[in-house]
Amino acid sequence: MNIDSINSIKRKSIFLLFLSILLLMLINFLPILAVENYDDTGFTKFYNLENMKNSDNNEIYNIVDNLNIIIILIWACILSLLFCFVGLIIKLSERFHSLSNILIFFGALSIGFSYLSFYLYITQNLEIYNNEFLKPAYIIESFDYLFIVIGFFVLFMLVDIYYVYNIAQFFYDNKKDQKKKEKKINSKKKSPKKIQEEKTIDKSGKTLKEPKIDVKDKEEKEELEDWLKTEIKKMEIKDKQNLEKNKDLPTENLIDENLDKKIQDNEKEEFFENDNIKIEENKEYPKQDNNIEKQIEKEEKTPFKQKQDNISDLKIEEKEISENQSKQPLKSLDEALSNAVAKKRPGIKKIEDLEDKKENIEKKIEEPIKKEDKDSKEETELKTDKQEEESYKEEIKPNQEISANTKKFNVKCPKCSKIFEATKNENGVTVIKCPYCGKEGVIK
Amino acid sequence: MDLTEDIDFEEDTNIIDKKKEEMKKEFLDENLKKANVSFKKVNKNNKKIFKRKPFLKSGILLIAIAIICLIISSYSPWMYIRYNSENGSVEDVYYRYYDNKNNSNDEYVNNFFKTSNSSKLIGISSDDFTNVPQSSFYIFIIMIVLGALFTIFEIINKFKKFSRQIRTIIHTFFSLGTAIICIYYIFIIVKFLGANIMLSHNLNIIKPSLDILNIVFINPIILMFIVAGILKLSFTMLKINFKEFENIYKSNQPEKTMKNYRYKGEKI
Repeated sequence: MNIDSINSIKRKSIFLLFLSILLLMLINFLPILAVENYDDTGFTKFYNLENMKNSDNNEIYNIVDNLNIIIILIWACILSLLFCFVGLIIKLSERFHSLSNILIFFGALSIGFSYLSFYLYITQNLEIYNNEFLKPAYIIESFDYLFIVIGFFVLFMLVDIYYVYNIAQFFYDNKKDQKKKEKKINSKKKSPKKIQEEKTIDKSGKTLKEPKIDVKDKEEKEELEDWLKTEIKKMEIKDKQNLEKNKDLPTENLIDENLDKKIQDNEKEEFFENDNIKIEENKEYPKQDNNIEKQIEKEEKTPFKQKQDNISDLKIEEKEISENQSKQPLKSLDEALSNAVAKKRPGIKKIEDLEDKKENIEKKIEEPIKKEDKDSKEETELKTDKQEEESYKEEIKPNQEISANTKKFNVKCPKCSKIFEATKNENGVTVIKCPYCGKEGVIK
Repeated sequence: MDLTEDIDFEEDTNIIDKKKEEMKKEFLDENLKKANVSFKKVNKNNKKIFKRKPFLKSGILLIAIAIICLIISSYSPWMYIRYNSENGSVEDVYYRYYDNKNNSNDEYVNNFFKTSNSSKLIGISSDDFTNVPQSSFYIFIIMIVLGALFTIFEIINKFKKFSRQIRTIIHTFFSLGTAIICIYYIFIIVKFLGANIMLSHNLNIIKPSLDILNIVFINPIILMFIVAGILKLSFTMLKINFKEFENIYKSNQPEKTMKNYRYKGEKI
């Protein structure tokens, strides 16, 4: 449901209502007819609707019937516009969909009423113009009253055309949305299709065909990219806002950093006070290892290994192709999707964070170990790993309790308006019960 | 490496863990305290939003206006006329049902406002002074009933709380009813305004029968303005309801349409 289209329909319906009420009043009280030389007095007599109703002249009396029909049609216009307005309000409430649709459709009928009334008004005035005794009423001799009415009628009809066009567009969009929803429901019912990637390798193992991408897939991909861009922007804005809001509050990262710093200081103080081993020595090891490995590889190139190399080359090619396909937007795509997944399943992100923490701790512990001898390293690694695992498990338990984000805050009961303390679970919805009156509620 | 060093290491790790826990608890406590303060601020803002209720006393307002209109229509004059007679210029006031409290009952005026004469010239006759007040009485009674029903509904709503949507829908139907009644009343009463225009056009034909200097339909003009005000109020009520639903709809809907996308074969 497009809210902009509803707003435009609303604005037009109010304007049309104003015009139709004005037209109704104008037809009711403005003079319509003028009879020259009335009863041989030499004066022109003016007639409005009320005068015409009480007239003895049959020609004038016949015009009244026509005017009555016009008034009824304008009344129908007013009612249809009013009902349409109410229909729009009901539509926004997202209840009684069929009733609201009928009411809005009834509003679209106003174009029929208005055109019919305009046609009748024009034919009636043409009859007056053609009559010898009758003349349309005038303000000045060159300017008739009916020009005012016709002007408002024309304006009414022009706006009405646009108004009905908007209603038609609104219904069309609604139907489109419904169809999309139905398609989605149907696709959910069916088994989820797997993405078919046509990767074929020739017998020689050298050529590799690129996966065929359908037009639909491309469109979906483009849509996905657009959506993700907006999502990334939103997330960036949110992050900025959060940073601005929580400038004073120490964030989890800050806490962790502080903790890490303190731990590092403690570790350095406790473990490396009496060690004279230089850290620079460690940097030379990887260089030597790499050279040795390369020499061994060159020496041991058997036909079996060559085949393996070819396959590995192919895999590298595959990766390159996939990278070329994805490029920059798809990189952001992965990030955004992982974020989206984390949003949907917040537990996953936390576990990942904890895993990162674990890795950090392992690294910190590995650093002092590197300085020790290789023999002692093997012995200590086993022990430290176990200890680290134990410490990690111990660390996770309170962390998980904290990561459940059970925040305590004061809540005011809407029934008894008493304040009490409640714990909130950020991961999902928490149900609260008032200890004073027993009213149940939910915090999102 | 000696075993003693291992034991020391174990002890150290335990101390570090304890320190970690203590430090984290301290940080979390500080955070929670600050978070409590922030939550309290948000609650205050929320209270302001939810306390607003548009046109809670609109029913009472409608009843009050309708009663005022009834009093005006029954006790204030419907027509003020100034005309030339044999005795000079005469001023007269006519109330509803063509009631003249001065008991002047001038024959010229009575003859002019007979249905056979005046209705042909200015479109209004003495019958209109009886029919229109009667119909206006019924219309204002209907308005009072509508207002009463609305207030009753509001009272019921206080005890048996309806959903916000149903409340506003009923609200819109009430305002729609008042709007239709108001339009109809203006449509009826506008003939008095037309009579003024007709008088200015047909003055030359009217003069032989009654030399009217000035004619003002006081009550119809006042009532027309009041009813137009009620109409405007009912439209604003409709607009408020529309905006209320619009805000609810906007708050429920995300900024962009949510779509299910596939990522690595699975729907997000």
